[in-house]
Amino acid sequence: MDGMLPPILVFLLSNLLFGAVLASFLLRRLGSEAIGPVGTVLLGFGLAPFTISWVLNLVLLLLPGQSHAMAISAVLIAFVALAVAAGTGWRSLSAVLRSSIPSLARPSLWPFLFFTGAMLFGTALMIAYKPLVDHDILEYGTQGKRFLRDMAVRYERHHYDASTGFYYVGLHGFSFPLFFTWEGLLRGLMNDHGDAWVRLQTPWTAWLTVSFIWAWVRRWGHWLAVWVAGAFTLTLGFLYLNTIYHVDPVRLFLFSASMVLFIAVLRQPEKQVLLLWGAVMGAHALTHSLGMILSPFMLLCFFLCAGGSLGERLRWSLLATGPFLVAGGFHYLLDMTIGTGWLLKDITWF
Amino acid sequence: MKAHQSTLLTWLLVPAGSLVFSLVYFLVLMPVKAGPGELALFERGIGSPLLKVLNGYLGSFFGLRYLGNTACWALPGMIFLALRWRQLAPWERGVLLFLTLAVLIIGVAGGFNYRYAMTLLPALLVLVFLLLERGMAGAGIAFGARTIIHVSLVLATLFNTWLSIELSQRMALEDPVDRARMDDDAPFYTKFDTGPRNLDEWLTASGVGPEDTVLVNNLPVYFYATDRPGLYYWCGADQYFGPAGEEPLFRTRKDDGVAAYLSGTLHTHYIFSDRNLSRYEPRFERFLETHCTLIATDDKGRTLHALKGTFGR
Repeated sequence: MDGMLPPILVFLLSNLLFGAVLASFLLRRLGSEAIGPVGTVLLGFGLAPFTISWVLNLVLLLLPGQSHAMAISAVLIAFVALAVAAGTGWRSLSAVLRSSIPSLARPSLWPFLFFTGAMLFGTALMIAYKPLVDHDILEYGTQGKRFLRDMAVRYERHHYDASTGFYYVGLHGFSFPLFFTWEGLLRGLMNDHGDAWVRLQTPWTAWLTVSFIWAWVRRWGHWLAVWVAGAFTLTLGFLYLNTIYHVDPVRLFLFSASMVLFIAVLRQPEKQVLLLWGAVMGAHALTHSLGMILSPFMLLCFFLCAGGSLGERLRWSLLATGPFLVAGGFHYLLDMTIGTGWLLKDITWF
Repeated sequence: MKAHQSTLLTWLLVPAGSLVFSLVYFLVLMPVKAGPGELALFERGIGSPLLKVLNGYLGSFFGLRYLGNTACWALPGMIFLALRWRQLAPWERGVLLFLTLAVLIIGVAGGFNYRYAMTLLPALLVLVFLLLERGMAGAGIAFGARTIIHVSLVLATLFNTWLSIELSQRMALEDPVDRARMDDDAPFYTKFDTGPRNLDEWLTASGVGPEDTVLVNNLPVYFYATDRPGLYYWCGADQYFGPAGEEPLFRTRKDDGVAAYLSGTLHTHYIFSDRNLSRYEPRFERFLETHCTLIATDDKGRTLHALKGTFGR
């Protein structure tokens, strides 16, 4: 097999099918009140690649040296379990999608359709003409390929590959490098290799980020969402966010989602939303150190400013801290104790 | 009616202020050429004390080059909210407190990197537009007039982006390496591809054997695209990353000593770099001229040097 078919198949499975699984799961567990039905669905789609990488991280850390088939099976089993647990959430997902389509005819969503069209056009150009050439993502990619070769995630003082001399200088969680591992695993099944699926994640997640913010701001005014999205997407930074392959769109999406959930739990600290908020902060942390740095402050602000008694606020904060640690915080605890030392080591800042 | 008109004019000062700030920022404050030895600071837009504050510590608000000219209004907005702390709902206090902490953390630790500053951009934009909407609605401004203000802000962002692109072009024209790319008439989409053409073949054609170790100056594509042995190095900070972590190559040695260390201890005779990256450290660039021979260069500016004396070169 050659050309674009293999990465498109990986996209259909990893982003759309797995995204739908998570969206249904969240609609079942969360309902559609906390961040709105469309926001919940978009969050599900945005969390799918992270969830894949989280399962892979666990398998490669706890059972190093396993076969490719075993690693793929672990991810598939995790998503089948989530799909079953989603239950009636599938019907809710169908209802959200069906009700969203007629609303696209509203004039306040025409700019969104134009934006989506522009993103599709830009993505086609990028995937066709721009290989993986950007500095940071090449480092993530090389480390991801090393995970694939060794089928192991290790916590070590120096991420030095003696066979090539490559030294992974990144201090972030392994979620993003594991995207490369996942693509390598799946395309290996098709006797194929490449990185088009990981490259696709840049414009896809940038689109998801804008759509998520757009959907959320619409609660204050349909046109207000247009102006916010306009002021965001017309910056040079957003153009670069789309045209430079990087972890940034993923990071930005997860941070934005954690902000929206932060506001939701400040207004109404429900158990399910608190758990999800913690998990999304953890996802942000496993993707990038900034998530690990900012999330404890977000938790602190929640503890200080949420309504309720001191005991309640403490209980709610701990309820969110648990999934935060499980989803991403664990990486930094391991890295600080048996790994590179993270920020505790002497760092040259760039 | 007159009162409403004067209030509307007052609110129009917001997009007008954005435009004026953009003009001052791009035409007066931002330099177009790096001074000697300060390429890294120039690239990050923090080459003067004022720019260090604007684009660095307060980069989340004032990094106009990448973040547009609307987020700057979040600073007075946040001060306004802080002054009304007692009137805020608990969730509003939580958000304001977190945004303040996040701006400080990002500003101190990484505001100079627009990518980090961009983290807060969506949140700050939501804050600005919501505050404006509430403020104008509270002042009795009609929906149509409010829309004019909002649209003006978005158009001001577009103008800011045009100024930013124009600045990039002026900077490129002043730069000997980037100028060549600017003058290239090839279609724009072909310029997306800045990678070397089949790196492995290029190295082989240049005489580098599959087992030869190459010193790689911050070009991870070498490790990504080939299975060849290499030594990862960054001249800008003089960091060689080996099995025991990072160590300097140049700081502790004279140039002859560096050449001897490379060939004798690290067993490498080749240096793979990029004209743009080599410029980050004048001593490294000079070392390439005095102690090495340029054996290959590609159309994207990649260079391959061999230590003098390597195989009789």
